[in-house]
Amino acid sequence: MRGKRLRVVSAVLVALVLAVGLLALGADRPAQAAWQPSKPVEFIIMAGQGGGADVYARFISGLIEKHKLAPVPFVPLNKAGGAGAVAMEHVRGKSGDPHTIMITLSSFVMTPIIQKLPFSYKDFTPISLVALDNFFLWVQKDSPWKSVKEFVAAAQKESLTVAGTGSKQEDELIFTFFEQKADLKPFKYVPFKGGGTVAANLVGGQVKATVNNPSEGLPHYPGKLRPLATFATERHKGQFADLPTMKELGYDISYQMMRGIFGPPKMPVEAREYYAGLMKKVFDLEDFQAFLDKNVLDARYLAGDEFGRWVGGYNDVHVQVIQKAGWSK
Amino acid sequence: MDAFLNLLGGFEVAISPYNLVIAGVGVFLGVIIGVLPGLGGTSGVAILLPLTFTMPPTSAIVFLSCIYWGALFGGAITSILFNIPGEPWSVAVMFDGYPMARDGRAGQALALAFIPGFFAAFIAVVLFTFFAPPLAELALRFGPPETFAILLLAFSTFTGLGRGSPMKSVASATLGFILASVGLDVVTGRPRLTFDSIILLSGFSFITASIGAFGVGEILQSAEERLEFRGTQGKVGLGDLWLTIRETGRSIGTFVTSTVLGFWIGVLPGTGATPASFMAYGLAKQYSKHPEKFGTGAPEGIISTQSAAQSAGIGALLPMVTLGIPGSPTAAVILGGLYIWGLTPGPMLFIEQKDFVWGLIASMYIGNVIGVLMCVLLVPVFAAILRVPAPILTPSIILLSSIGAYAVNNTTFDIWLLLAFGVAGYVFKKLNYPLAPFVVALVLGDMTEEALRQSLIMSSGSLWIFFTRPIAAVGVVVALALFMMPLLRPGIARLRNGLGAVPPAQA
Amino acid sequence: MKRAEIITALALLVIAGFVMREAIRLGPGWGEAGPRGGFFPFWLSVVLGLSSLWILFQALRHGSQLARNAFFPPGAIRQVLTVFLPMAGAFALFEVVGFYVTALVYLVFYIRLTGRQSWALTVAVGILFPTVTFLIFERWFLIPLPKGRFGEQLLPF
Repeated sequence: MRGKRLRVVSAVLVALVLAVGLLALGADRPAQAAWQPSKPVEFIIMAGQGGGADVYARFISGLIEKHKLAPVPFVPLNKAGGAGAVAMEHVRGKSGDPHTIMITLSSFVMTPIIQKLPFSYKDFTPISLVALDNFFLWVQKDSPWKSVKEFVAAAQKESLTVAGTGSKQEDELIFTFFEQKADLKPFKYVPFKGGGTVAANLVGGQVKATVNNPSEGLPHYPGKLRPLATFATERHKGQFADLPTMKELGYDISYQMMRGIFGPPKMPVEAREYYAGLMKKVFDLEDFQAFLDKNVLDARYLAGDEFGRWVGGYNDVHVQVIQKAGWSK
Repeated sequence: MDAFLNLLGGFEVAISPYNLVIAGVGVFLGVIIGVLPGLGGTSGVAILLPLTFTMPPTSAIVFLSCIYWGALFGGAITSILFNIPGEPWSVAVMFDGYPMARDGRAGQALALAFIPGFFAAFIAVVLFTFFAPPLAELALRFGPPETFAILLLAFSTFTGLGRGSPMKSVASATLGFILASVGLDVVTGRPRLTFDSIILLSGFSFITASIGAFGVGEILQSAEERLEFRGTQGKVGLGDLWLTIRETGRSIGTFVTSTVLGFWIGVLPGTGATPASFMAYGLAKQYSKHPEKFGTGAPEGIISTQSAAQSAGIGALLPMVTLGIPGSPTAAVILGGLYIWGLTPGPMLFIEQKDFVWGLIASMYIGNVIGVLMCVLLVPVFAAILRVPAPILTPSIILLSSIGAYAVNNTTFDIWLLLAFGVAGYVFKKLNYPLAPFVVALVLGDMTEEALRQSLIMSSGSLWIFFTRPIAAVGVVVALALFMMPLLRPGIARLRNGLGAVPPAQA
Repeated sequence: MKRAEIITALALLVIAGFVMREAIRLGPGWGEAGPRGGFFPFWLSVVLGLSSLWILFQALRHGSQLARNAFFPPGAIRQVLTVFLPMAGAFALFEVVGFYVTALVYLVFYIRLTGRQSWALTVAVGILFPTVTFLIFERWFLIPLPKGRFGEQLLPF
């Protein structure tokens, strides 16, 4: 920045170049061999600082930086509020922008079903799935219930007090699912703002059960908490190989949380392919796989239309349960 | 004694040249983050988190926690000098810090924040060192009813906080409560008072509100008097240190209560340094011999808030390390770091990762020493800022304030809110509506409602839950008694004067 | 002062009215699991309404006393506006050309025209301030500041 005039001149020049560039993009030329981001990428997080989505976003952008996977920095940007609605609205406003991506969780499909919003998951460009987060059914270690069967028997007799993150979000969804499939008395569901606090309230005996993600329950395992089952479709490998799935116990409930990457509406194809490729590189890193293993996430990579179809199915499951629970409006 | 030996081991780790440098850099960055309104301790730590991927975990945690310590110190600086909070937890410091600085005692006000703040942090670290596991156990007994009782206690200490018309205090506080309830209702998951606007779903940020109402409002008000925002005047010198230590000695009771209270509020999950500083302020005022001086530059007002904030900051890391539960938003981000470095928080950490835990604890001692030295040595630099001509200072502060508001949600909407709150703050101040009840209600309002409604879900709607649980019962009863105080006082006075003084008709 | 008191009280009353309407829509009652979403907003709006009515009543009753002090001391309104209008203007400009260009324009305008400082100082601050904020926020701490509608084209770095 040497002088004002230089700055103005260069600014005008670049504005011209950009304008021409924009026109060219509009003309829908065939995809160039290697599109690359030319300025810092906004990495939108659908939740506040310190939550699960935040950790993933910062981890991924840190890995990109550490392993020099991209020519520009990925800047994590929190857009909390409205269970993701604020973030989605922001990204929707960036239609066609190749320098904005968003990390999502279940609220990405749930929020538009529950709230009256001018958009749905379909408006966004699916880039890739990087992992599926799991849910365990946790009880206190000294609780009398040693199996799901005993838990169900108790929950059929009286309304148990349970806790989860947020209201009308994935934790409550799972409990509602459970009620519907196992014919339980309605749970008294106490919503908290964060998963860590939920686990603390179970350890402290304020509530009887939670469906915390493994990473939230693990600090208290095996000292204080006991998982009774996993909501995954198949058994986990490693530490929790003995943990039964709900499905094999006869309750047809499986649920996993999407940790996926989406772009704004009408994202250029070459940008979409670029980010999908980049996420694959991140996914294949040893650091990333170790992180997933440690926190009992399923490593699952999907991209492009395959991912789009997967999200469609994921959405349908939510629509069914939410309608049955009477949450949609 | 075990803790003592472990601590020595921890010092060995923390004092390695690499970790010392890391700690120094961390504290320095923290102070900058604390000073700049657009950079909070929470976002600062979040943003620098990726830098730690290449460090060994112990150095990484030393780095991040030192940023936090630096930010805890630094937040007070802009609050005191310009009436603009650099951090959420330094809003309460403004109540008395800024009036004192405007009186020409900026140096003393800063010293009253730094020195007691340092000692408070030190006491908190000692508590952390020797009592971490039992305190964590105790924190777990605090469910929503207990949290509600504590928040109710906080409000009860604020009765009679505002000066001037009590009705205006009530209006100001209710307005704060109403703004606090805007957004997505955590309990029902439905939008409230958002009038179908998506942007309002995030609610009103208390940071935007306090930068606006206090900072921008102040700028407008001083514009009236002499065209320019004059900030604060007066010499800032190291001679203030001695005065401060004497003053702290005189308010030793306030200092100790604020430190202990702050530490405990920090340990409880989901609260953190911000509510702690407000509670300490209310408490200090309630039990001060000169409550009328609060809000006009009372030393106790600065000592209580800053001590509470800094010991709460330390306290917030306790449940994070021992239980994996963040005690504050900043701790939540550091916790995320733990997962990324491949560590699992919890009791096992004390056994499996001794170097990590005790290195962290030792660095708390070191970081706070570095922090206080750095801040005290920087005092002359702050003095230089005060000498910048007003025509330059005013627009710079306005620009920095707008960054502060923008960074809350990364939307320009907050900048417009800043303007609106600025005008409202200006008008309120002129018409003698007290601003403190408004901010306190905005900060603690939704937390309180949430705790109450969580408790009532647990009890299926019965209020008895607050009286059947011993800790909650004590808190609620004391709080109710404090609320009644203004009503009961005349009666008590009458009783003291002997029953004979009471007319028979009323006896 | 009297008029200001009355206007403020009326404004609070209007806010109370809006909140009450919304609270009733949300359900102001006590459900089976404690207060419903509108319970607190409803009672808050009642308290706010009552206290603003009280303030209004007081202002009308003691009006003559209040009227003696003007809300703006003589000449103050001009002073306040010289700070307020450029500030509001700058905020509007954020939306169009973003933070950095606005900061330059605003600082030059304010320091030179309102503050009457020398050109050298004005230009130095006008360029230094955006540069330093750019380095600190955008580069080191990776906090993108508002770019406005055209900011990205004006400053493409």
